[in-house]
Amino acid sequence: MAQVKKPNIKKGSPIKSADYSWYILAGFFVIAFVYFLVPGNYVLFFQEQQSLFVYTRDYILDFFLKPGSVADLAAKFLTQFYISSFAGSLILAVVLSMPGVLMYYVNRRLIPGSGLAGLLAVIPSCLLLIMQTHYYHLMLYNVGFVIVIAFFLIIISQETIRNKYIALAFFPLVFYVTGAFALVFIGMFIVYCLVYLKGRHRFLLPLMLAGLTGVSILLFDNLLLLQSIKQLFLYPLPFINDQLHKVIFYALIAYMVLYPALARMAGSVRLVRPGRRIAAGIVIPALVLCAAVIVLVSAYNSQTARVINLEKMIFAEKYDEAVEYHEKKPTENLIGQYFYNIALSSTGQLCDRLFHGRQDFGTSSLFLPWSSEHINWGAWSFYSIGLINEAQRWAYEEMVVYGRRPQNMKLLVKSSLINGDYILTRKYAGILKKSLFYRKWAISYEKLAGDSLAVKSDPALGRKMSILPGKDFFVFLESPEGNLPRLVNQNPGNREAFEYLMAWLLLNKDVEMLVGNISLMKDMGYTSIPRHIEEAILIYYNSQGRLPDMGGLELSSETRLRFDQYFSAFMTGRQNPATLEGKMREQFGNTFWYYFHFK
Amino acid sequence: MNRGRNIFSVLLFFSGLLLFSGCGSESGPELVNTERKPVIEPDYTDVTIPPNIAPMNFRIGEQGNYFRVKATDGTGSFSVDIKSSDGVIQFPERSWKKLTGGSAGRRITFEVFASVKGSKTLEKFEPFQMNVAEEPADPYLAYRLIYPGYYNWSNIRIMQRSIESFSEETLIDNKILDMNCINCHSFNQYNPEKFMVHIRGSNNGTYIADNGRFRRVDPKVESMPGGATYPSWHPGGTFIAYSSNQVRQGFYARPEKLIEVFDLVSDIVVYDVEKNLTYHADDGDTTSYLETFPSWSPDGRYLYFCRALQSTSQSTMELEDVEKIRYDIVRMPFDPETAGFGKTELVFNASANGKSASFPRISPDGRYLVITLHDFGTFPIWHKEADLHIIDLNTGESKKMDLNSSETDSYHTWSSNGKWLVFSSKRTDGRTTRPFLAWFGSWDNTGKPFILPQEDPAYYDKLMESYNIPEFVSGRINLGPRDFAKATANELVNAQPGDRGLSLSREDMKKAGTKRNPGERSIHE
Repeated sequence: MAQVKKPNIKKGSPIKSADYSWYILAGFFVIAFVYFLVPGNYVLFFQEQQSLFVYTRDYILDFFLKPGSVADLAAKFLTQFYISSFAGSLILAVVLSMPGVLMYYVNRRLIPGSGLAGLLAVIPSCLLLIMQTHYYHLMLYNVGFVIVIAFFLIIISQETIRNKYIALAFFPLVFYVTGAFALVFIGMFIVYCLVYLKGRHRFLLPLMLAGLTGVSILLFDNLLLLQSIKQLFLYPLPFINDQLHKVIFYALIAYMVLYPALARMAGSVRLVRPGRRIAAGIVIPALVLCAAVIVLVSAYNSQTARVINLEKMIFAEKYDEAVEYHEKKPTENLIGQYFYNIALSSTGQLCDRLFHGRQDFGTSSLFLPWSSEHINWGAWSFYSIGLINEAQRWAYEEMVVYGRRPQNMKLLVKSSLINGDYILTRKYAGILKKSLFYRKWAISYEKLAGDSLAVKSDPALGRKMSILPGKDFFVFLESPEGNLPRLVNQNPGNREAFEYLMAWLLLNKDVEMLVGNISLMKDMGYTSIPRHIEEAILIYYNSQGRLPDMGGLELSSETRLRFDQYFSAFMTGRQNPATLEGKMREQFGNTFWYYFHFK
Repeated sequence: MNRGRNIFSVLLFFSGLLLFSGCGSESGPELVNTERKPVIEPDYTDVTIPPNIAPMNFRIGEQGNYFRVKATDGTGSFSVDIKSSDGVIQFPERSWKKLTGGSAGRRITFEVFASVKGSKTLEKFEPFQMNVAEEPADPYLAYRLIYPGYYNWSNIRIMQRSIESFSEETLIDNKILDMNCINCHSFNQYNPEKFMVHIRGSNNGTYIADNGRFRRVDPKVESMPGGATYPSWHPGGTFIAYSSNQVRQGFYARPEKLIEVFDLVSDIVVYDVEKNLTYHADDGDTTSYLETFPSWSPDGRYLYFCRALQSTSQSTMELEDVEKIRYDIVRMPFDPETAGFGKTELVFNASANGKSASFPRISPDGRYLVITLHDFGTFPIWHKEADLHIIDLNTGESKKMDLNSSETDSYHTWSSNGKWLVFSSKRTDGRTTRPFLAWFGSWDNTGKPFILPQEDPAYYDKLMESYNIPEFVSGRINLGPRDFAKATANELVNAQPGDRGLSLSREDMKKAGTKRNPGERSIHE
């Protein structure tokens, strides 16, 4: 028969305490749900964009090729619902609450009626919640812990020792499903055996587990699945390059492994007085929840949120919204400012509003450098200027490196339509069609394949077709601005490329070069000069004493007037150099003049 | 999985039976002759296949939800009936073997019927045939599966596939090789036990497999412009010819083309596998040439390769520079006893016709040379206009082969009996290469090529990777990914120069080090 240590139940012991665990867990659920529905919603968008879940046999079978991937499959399945803020927050809050719920049942086995049960149960969920605030903390990591705790619960719930052995025999399956998360179980279970079991089983069960682990490793490494031994011990544990995340991750692992011992200690605590029972059952867990909220608030990175929110708007082609957002809530991040510039270009305002938003990175925020770090965003600037082949290349390379993602597949569909590669359009759209939430989009674009007139009639795609390069050349990768004069010269209708070129010169403060291009504008269809270009012309005029060749276009009187105001404000402010920059920023921060003189 | 499929097949059979019995009411469905052949994917109509090919499964691209295909062998004594509700026609392997077995030198005839549920008519299409050649093809193909990408790669696998069944096995997988690049597999005389492959990066080296044992060598010597790249085994098995290339890429701005791959500098060397010596294929000519894609004649007396005048442009190779580079096919006499070379001879003057030639491959009987001809440069895989051309080495006559398409037709290899060609074609989608097999009867007589059949005829539609460097192999390779992973523990042996007098010119050294883009390096290193 089983030799399991009985919980220490005495008169006045915790067994008679009221159990507040469900209230605590409900409180946790509400906090998690609200956080990810509102301030932390950007995390959901970011993660939803990390992979494209498709309902095909090949895609799903791929997840059965290495330990840990089955958990990833489950996680990716859930993550696809992040496309809806409500559904995503709900799912995430449920999954984050699961460790607490499972621990509640664990506690009913290990420390029935303990007043500290709620507190112990909610801690893993709280730690996961804090980890989840990092946008790279994937659903997979939560699922991994949930499965491990569930398996632990299943084993300890077996009434007889024989059944425990039988349940433990399923460990290779758990290892296969969760990968390296199974190592957490190993730790937990060994501690459990040592603390809760008596007699030879407290050693035999861990020995059996060690044997099963060895067999699993042998089986996975040599016979069944192709992966390196390193992967076997590390995948899919999160190793995110963030100090807070790392600390909490290790703390969580330590907590989980030592949980049986902690539970044992907690079970031996006598809570006789009602006040102490309430304190242990409600007040302390509530304080833990409050602490979690405080960490959530303090760990919230508004800058990260802004960048990802901008990305969301750009991906949804809500360019006006993106412009307004950055101007109201400026991002200090390179990618954020890059997206702002794309939004400006897509709405034809690049040289009118460039300095209405923050520009801290000079020309770097026009084109992202070629690197794996930027590979998932870099395509957009090339797409904006009609260098579709290059945009397609970035999207394709992203797909090769990071796999199919909604955005790279969408960009491949659009770029192949613009390029007239309709077979490829159908191929890429065919993949998107197998997803739950991009199916409609794919069908609408797939319909265009084969009908170049329909593609031309589509306002966005038609525009891109009309600004394709006129003559072939090798794309400049190291100095992408080198592509711009070629695009403009070969296709004078490509205003997007022209304004990117002018924006490059503005951000580079290269007024001489900039004014040399103004004579081209009238033939390109401009009837007036964009505001920042006018501002540059006046700087040129101010230094050279003459206006450049403007090809028949004229400066607006409004800009002239503003320049006069700027000039006199500058002259006045110069009396007090300490306050000059601040005063000029206040009045003229959205002008090229300010950028030219003070940035 | 198989169990599920079996259950599905049984259900399909009964639903087909029900449908068929529905069609076969007292009066029976009215048979309507369409007087045209059915649309099938892949297009296997009138192709010539080897007798040992796997079932040529296909999809019927016609309206309907009841399909029936009757395939009859060349003698008319055996036929197979396949019914399908979705138009996917998959032949059981055993029945297929009987069909092809009785049809060598004859034709298999396929009759196709289609009907829509509830309709009282059954459409009958004109029968189509597959010609079954008498000569088998080598039973295995080895190829690399890789995304036809640009700079980046992820999973790369070298696979072996039995052409007699659908069995495909991984030979090398970079997932257990630190995700390093693997390329340029080459077999000695189609021998599954003697071949080589390059592995780059942390496990770098040229891995030479010989009867289950591996040697890990680096044939590069100081005087080579880059690492050992495109290989060709000498028939004797002692030497491997390599080109040594500094390869760069340019990306096109216009939609018609995507990528141009070109050499800044390249040279031909021969590596002595037994003595671990590397020799330059040098005939004393001091002109600066680009030399690449070596290929031995079947008797081992000549080394064929592609040669172009090196660009004198001082720029970092713009499109205009690359467009001027055109390769001819030349050959050098070779003496295996001394590893010495004679004077280079011009074999095919492609540049005189404004074209560029790549991948010389000589038929096993030594009579024919098949090349890829394209407008310029060295890498036809990305050239839509690239086509296979054949040259009669006895007469010098050349012509474009009948097996070409409007998309890229390129990298090709002869079967060991000289009756089959496997080549890479992008004709299915314009982007990914697929292996096509074509029967070669004679100069005037080649069969319509066909794509390597798959169990699921829609397989290629879903596959994003390209089939790279398809090579015939005479049998199964008894090695797997773990054998290669273990071989990475072998010590890397650096080759010694066989001809110490040679060194890279200063100009070549400068070109070899040119970086056109940040972090750029030769794509084969």
